[in-house]
Amino acid sequence: MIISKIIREGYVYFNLHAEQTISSTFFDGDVGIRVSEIFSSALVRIEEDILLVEDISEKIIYLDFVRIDNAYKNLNTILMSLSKKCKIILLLNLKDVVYNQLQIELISGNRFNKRNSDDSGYEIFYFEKESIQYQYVYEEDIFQEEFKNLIQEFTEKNINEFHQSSSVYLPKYINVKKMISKRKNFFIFSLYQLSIKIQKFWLDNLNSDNEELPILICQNLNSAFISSILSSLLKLDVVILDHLGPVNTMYSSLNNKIEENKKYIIVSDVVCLGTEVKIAKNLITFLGGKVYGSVSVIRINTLEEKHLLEQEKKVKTISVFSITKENNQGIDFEIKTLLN
Amino acid sequence: MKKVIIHISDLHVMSCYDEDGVRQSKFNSWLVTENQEGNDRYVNSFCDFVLEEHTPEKAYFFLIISGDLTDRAQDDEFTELERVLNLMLHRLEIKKENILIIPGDHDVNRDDAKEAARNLKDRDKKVYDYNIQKFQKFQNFYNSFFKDLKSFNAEDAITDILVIEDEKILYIGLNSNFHIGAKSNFGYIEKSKLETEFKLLEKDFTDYNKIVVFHHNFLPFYKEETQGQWDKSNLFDVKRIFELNNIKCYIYGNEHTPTSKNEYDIPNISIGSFSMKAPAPNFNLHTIISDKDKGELKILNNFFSVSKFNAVDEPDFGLWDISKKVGQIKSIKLKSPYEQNELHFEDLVPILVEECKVETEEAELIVIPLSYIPFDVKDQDHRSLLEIIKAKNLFHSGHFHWSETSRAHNWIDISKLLNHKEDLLNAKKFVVNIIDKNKLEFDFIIGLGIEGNMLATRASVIKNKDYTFLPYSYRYDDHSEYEKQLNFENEGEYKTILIITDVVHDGRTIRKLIHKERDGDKTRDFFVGVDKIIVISLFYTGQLPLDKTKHFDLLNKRVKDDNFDKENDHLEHRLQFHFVSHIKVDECPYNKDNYKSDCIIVREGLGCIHKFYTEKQEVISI
Repeated sequence: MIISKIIREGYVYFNLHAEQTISSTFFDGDVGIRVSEIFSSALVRIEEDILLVEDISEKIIYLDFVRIDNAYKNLNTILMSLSKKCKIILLLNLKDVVYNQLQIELISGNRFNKRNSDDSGYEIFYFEKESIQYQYVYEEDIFQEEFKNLIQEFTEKNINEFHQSSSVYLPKYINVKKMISKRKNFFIFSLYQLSIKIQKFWLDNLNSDNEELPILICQNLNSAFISSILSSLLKLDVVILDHLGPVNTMYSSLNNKIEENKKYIIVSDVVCLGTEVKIAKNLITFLGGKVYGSVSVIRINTLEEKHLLEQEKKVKTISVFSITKENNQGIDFEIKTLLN
Repeated sequence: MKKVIIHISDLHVMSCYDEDGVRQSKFNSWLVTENQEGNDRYVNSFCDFVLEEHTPEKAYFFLIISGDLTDRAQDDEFTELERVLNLMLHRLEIKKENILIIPGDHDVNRDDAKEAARNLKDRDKKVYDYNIQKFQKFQNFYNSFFKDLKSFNAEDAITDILVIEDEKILYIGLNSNFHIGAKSNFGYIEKSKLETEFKLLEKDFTDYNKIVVFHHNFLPFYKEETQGQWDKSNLFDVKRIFELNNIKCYIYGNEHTPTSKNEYDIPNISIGSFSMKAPAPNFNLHTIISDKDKGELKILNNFFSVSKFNAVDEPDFGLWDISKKVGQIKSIKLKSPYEQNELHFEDLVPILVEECKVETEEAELIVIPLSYIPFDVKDQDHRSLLEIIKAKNLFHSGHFHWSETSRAHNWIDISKLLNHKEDLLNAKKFVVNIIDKNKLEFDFIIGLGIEGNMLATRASVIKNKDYTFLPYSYRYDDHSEYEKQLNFENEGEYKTILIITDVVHDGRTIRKLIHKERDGDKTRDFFVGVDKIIVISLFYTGQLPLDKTKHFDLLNKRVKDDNFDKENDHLEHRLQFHFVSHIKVDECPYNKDNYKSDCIIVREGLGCIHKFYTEKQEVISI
């Protein structure tokens, strides 16, 4: 199973840290995203997978080493084997330590190899001595572009859906369940991206090692899938609040699941108007818990930046993809009421 | 008097002349033609030892020989074999009706098979198809040895049986040499032949505990081997027929490696060579232990082998002694006494009930899936789950409603069980363990309910199959239309579906999911062309039958019996059920019409009353 493969005309992109995370979380242990060394199993999976790509011999393969700090021995033989199957391999974000561990100095010397800004490694390294010049590919750019394609593919149109939690109509519905079902692998890559953000912006900033980790709050079927994967990747506990959205029905429970003074992260698939997040926040707060923040795969930014910042003060939010006024073209998401 | 089955194999009685007719002086076997004195000494030493272990006054002996009685299937080898066997029978007072003998590949005369092929020139036949000719010498021996008692038929798959009447034990001897001709050494039994002969046998031995004996090994026991010596394409079919016929143990020789192993709950016992010089000679004694009061029937499995101490008065072949290298199988359990859960969870002990007998309208062949491992109270994953439930106090009493027709007096709080990251991870691993242990293969995975969806994520990644999730059928009204969509069509590409969920009681929820017709919902259509639906549940809370072979079938509803709920239930026979843990949950004994008035918990509000669904209410327009 490969999660990070993004195919474009002329090239295929793979994120090695994402693939290693999958190997180290599901196949060879349960380390989660904290893994920083690339092992052969992830590369072997990629090698097997590229055989399924049409015209692979005509395509460039980008192997993104971002967040990879070490490489296991003898990986150069797999890279050699990979390079024979495609047009050329380009290694992105290759740290010097990793470069040395890969023992690929014999292949170095391509005049288009480019060092990164702090000279700690290569921004782009050509796995061939001679070639023409190729473009650098930014992880964030290619991921965002692919995710936008995904939203376009899985948006149900002309439905005029009555939003169950807010008094508005949604002419379009982003069908996240269908997205998970039909593009599970890439969706898990999106959850990997979400995990990286949660780790970087929140978990890495916890005051001390003794500070308790926040607990994920799952509140519907889509959120159950998302929370389960996030729990594996980030090593966080999960509380099931069954269930808040889209249809809001809470059932009596024997024991209070929310514990006093514990911190919670509300997990959603799409945050549109934020009603479900507010309901969850009120519930958690009422029961004595603290809301650490809200995470979602997709967030619809309906407010201007200054107002967004104001809202952030109430509940800080992380999402993988935000639909904004700037990128809504092509998605054309709308929120309507009878008044407009 | 004890009943003891002596099991020997791979005697390799060896002609003292080689293929050129030149007399040899060194042999790999202790039993060689034209060496009566030496052979008698060897057999007598064996008999002395057996009698020391079990004197005939205290034991009643049976004898099983699982092939390779000779080395090259020569007439002189068979003649000497018959002589030493008669000596053995005389010493141990074994009646010939208490003997089972089957041939091994060394009892096939390959020259005779090749000659028959050369002479008869039938292009449709392979060399190994000349069964009559290749077994002619073995047949002569067999018929001469047993005289009028029984005769050998080279075309039969089942060549011999040994009946132990009082305990209803049937040893079935099979000929696995149908592909032994000029070259092959692999076991093979034609599927249709085996099926037909088992059917015939079943008529006379329906309720017998059946054990099969054949020559070629299913499992690799010799250290340099990676697979058993059986034709791969035929192995699956033969094992399946064994499972269908409820065979309780496989015994074979061939590899000269005395050991034993459980494979998917079936004991495989490999008997070493009785008289080859290396590795050390070996035989087995199976002692029948029967306790009718406790309902227990088992066969103790003891290995004996020759050890050499180079003592002054020690024979050249050494001294017989009990062997410690027995492998996993200390006994073959044919009937187990009433099982007890060893864990001390008074409230959680599974209530084992007599198997529910359902009269079927038509006799239907219920096939136990290959490799199915039934639930076992000693299973480590089951125990781990019970430990969490106990530690977190997650087993509750009260009145719990999932619908008007689904009510119970107990409830397991699964969402709390999955709360802690380690517990959630372990629960996901338990699901994958079931898939791996049972070698389950499937085309599509469905996570059922919020908890089922969480539990299924690991399996969906590791097994990399198409995946979706659905709400429980009793919670359909709580979900938007998009949440209820399966999102996949099934044009025949998905034949086996795996459903992963947290708790299953009687399977009605699963059957409803598969069959319920709902507007705009194509779930029912998806399942129409499906051959098999495997359900893995973290917990099973229904009644657990004593007969473990019924576990896989627990969720099927094959007939509309008196308790059939016509409104909410459906007939289904494709379900194959696996569960990690079992905790019996008491159902509310009242029906939907009287539980509010008759169930004291509800009427008087005595216990916690929890509803996990929304009662339908009339909408009043204002």
